[in-house]
Amino acid sequence: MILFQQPWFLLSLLALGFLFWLYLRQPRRRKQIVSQVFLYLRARKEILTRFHRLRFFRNMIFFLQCLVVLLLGTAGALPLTGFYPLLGYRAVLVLDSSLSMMTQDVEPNRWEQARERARQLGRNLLADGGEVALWELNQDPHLVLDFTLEANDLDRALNELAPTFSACTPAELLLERLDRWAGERMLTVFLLSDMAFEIPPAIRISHLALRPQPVGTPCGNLAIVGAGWQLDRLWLKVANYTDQPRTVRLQVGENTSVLNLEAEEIGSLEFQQTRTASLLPISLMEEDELPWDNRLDLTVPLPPRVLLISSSPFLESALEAAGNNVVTIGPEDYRSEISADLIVFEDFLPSSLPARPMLVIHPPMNNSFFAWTETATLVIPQARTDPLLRFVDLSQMRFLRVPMLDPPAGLAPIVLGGETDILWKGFLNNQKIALLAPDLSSSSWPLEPTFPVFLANVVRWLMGDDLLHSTNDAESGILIEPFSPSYQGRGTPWGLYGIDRADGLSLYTVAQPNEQESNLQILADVEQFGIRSAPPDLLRPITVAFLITALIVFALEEVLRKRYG
Amino acid sequence: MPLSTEPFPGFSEALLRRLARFRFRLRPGLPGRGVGEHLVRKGGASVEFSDFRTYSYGDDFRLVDWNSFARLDRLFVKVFRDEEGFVLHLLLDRSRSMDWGKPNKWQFAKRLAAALGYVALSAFNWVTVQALPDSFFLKERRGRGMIPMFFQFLERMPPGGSLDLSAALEEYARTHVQPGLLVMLTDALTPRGVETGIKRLLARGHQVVFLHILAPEEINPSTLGDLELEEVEWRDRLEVSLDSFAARTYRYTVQNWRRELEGFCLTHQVPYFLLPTDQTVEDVLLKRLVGVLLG
Repeated sequence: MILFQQPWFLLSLLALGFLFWLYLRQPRRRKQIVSQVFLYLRARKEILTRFHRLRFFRNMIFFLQCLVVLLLGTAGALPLTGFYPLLGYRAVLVLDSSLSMMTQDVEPNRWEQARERARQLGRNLLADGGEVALWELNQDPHLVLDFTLEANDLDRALNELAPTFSACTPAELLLERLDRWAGERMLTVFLLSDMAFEIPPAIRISHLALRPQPVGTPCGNLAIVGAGWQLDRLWLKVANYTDQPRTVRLQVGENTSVLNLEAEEIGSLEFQQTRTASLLPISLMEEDELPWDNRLDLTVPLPPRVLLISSSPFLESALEAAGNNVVTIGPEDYRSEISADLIVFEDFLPSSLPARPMLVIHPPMNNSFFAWTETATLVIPQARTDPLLRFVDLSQMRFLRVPMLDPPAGLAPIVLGGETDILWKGFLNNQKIALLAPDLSSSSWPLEPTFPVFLANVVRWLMGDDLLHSTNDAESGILIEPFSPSYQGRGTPWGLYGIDRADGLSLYTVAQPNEQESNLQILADVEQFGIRSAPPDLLRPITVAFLITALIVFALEEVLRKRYG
Repeated sequence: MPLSTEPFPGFSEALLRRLARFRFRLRPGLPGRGVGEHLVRKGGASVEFSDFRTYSYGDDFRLVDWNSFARLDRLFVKVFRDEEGFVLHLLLDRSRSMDWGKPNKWQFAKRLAAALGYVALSAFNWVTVQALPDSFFLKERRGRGMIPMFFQFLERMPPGGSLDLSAALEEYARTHVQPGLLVMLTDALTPRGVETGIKRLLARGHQVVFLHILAPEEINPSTLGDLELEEVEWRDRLEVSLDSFAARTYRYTVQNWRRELEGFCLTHQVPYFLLPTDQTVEDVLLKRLVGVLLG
C-alpha cells in the first residue's frame, strides 16, 4: 500500500479523463484532398499492412501519455512507501516506564496502553519478517528482550515485564541509548511513551506534532496546579514535587512574584489583578524536568454587571469602588428584561422577583415578599460570623429605623437586632438573596469604610462560584481543568510521530491518546503505517524514480509521435 | 478587345529581355514553316556562312569565292545557312489535378508556358497552345505582335475538367499534322499513362519535350496518420494509413514511376525534365532548360 504525503496532488490524475476525452474525440481518419490516388494505390499493399501497426503505436502513444500523467501525479503526491527490505528489518521497542506512565487519564493507564501498543506493533513487525528487541526506559534503561523473530517471545517478555516506574525523566537516558544505536543501519526505534518530557535538542525533530499532556507528574517537577479569581484577586497554587525546598518565581502578566516552597509542598499566592485583559499568561520562571505544566493562560473574567435600582449615591459609589460594573436606574425604569449579573433593590421591589442573585435593601412596606407593618427604632446590631461580614465591624453601629420583616424560610439571619433582625441571606426560588432591612438614610453606615467592604462581600457571595474558576486542589496526575493551555486545540494530541536523526537512525513515538475514542484511530494509524516509513525531508527515492520514468516515457512518446504521427 | 501590353504576371522586363535572346534548340530535320529566324543547316540565303562546295554548272557567280580560286585555281562557291520558322506546340494540362499543391502547379505551368511562348514569338516562330482538356485552343500565331494576346490567353485560361492524357495526346497527334516542337506541360497523373500518346506524337514527326510538373507534397507527403484521401480530379477515395515507413514506401513508388517515365523518354529521345513547383520559373528556364531546350 502506498501512502502519500501530499495526497491532494492526486487530483491531478483527473487529467487522465481529459486525455481520454481527447482520445475519443480524435477522428479515426482525417480527410485529405490530394491530386491523385493512383500512386497511393500502387503503394497500398504496403500501406495497408502498416495500418494495424500504426493503430498500435497510436494507442501506445495514448497509453504513454496516460502513464506520464499518472507518474507525474503520483510523484507530485510524494509517495511514502518504504522500499526498505522487510526481511531482516530490525526494530527496537522502547517502553517508557517513568512514573508518569502510571497516570490513569486513560483506561486502564498509560503503561498498559503502551504495553498493548508494543505488543501489536511487535506482532506487525515480526509478521513482516523483521527482528524485534524490547527495552525498558527508566532510571536504569535495560534490555528486556534481545532481537527475536518469535512473537511468542515478545508476548512473554511483555507479560512478565514488571516496571519500576522510577521518578525521573527518560530524556537524557533516551539520548544516551540512541547514541549507542546510532551506528546501526536499518534500525528503527519505536518509543512508546507519554512523552511527558522534553525532547532533547540533540534529536532533530522533523515531524514535530507533539502535544504532550501536562500530567503534573511528581518527577523532579514544579507545576502550577490550581488557580482562580476572587473579585479582583487572582490566586495561584504552585506545587513543588521535588524533595528539596525551592524558591519559585512566578510571572503573572508583567508582574513577578516569589514563593518559597518546602519539599512536596503546595503553596498559594494571591495577586491584585485588575480585570482588564481577557487572557493572562502565567509562567513559572524555574527550570524543571517537565516544562509542560509550567505555563498556563488564564482567561480573565469580566467584572460583574450590577443593576442598581436606587436613588442613593452611596450605594452606587460603594459598588463601583468594589470593581463592579454598575448601572443605576430609577424604579420607574426597571424592566425584567434588563440584563445583569446581580440586582440591587433599594426601597423598591417589583411584582415578581427576577431570576438572578439580588440584594434587597429596605424593601417597601406593601411588597408581597417581605411584608412589614411596624418599625423598630434604635436597633443595635449583633453580628454573627459570616463571610458577608468579613472585615466589617458593626459593633459601634446604630440603626435609627429598622422595619420588622418576616422573611421566608429560605433566608437565615446573620445580623440580629433584638426586636427584629437586620441582615439575612439565603435562597429564594433557587436564587441567592441578601436582605438588608434598615433604611440606610437613617444610618451613618454608608459613610463608614466598612460599607463598601460589606457590599464587596455580598457581591462575592452572590456571584458565588461564577467567580471561581478552579477547584482549590489539583492533585498529581490530574489535568488542570480550568485552564486553557496555549497549546490546546492545536495539532493532534497523540499518535504516531516520526523523529528523525541526522545520522539516519529513525526514532518513532507512539504516544497515548488523550481521549478514549481516539484510541481506535491510533490503532488504525499503527496498523496502517506498520513499519513503513520514509526519510521525511528528503526527496523520496520512489518520487525520483517516478519522475525519471515519466521523463523517459515522455521522450519515448515524442519519438513515437514524430515517427507515427 | 484591346490587347494587354502588360508583361505576364510575375515576369520582369529584365527577364523578358533575357528570354528574347534565347533560341530553341531543334532536332535536325525538324520541318520548318516559312521564313523565320531559326537557322537550319541546309543552304539558304541568309548572311550566316555555312560551308564551301565545288562550283557546279548553273551556280550563281556571285557566290564564287574568288580568293580560293586565286590560291587553288579551282572554283568554289560559298554556301549560307537558311533561316526558317517552326511551330511551337504548347500542350498545357489544365485538369483539376494541376490546380493543386503549394506552390500551385497550374500557375507554375502557365508561367513556364508563357516564357517558352515568349521565346518562340520573339524569334518569329509560330506558337499554338492547346489546353487539355481541349476547351481552350490558340491557333498558330507568329511574331512579337502576338505576344500580348498570347499572354492574355494564358492568363485567362482557368483550370478544370478531367483528363485522359494519353487519349488527348493521340487526338492532338491526329488533328495537328504540321510537325514542330511540342512541349508538354503536365503532371502526368493519369492512371493510363502517357506513353501511347507520346508515341503518336513522335510518329507525326513532332519533337516532343516532356516538362513534368509536380508539387513537392506529391513527391514527399508530409501529412501522416490515418487518412481518407479524396482525389481532386476524379473524386476517387482511398483510405490509407501513413506512418513514416508507409510514406517512405510512397516515395519509392513515386520515384519508380518517375524513372519509368524518364526511361521511356530516354528511349524515344524525348527530353524529360522533372520540375517541382518549389523552384522558380526563372531557375527552371535559365538553369534547367538552357543548353538542352534553349540555347
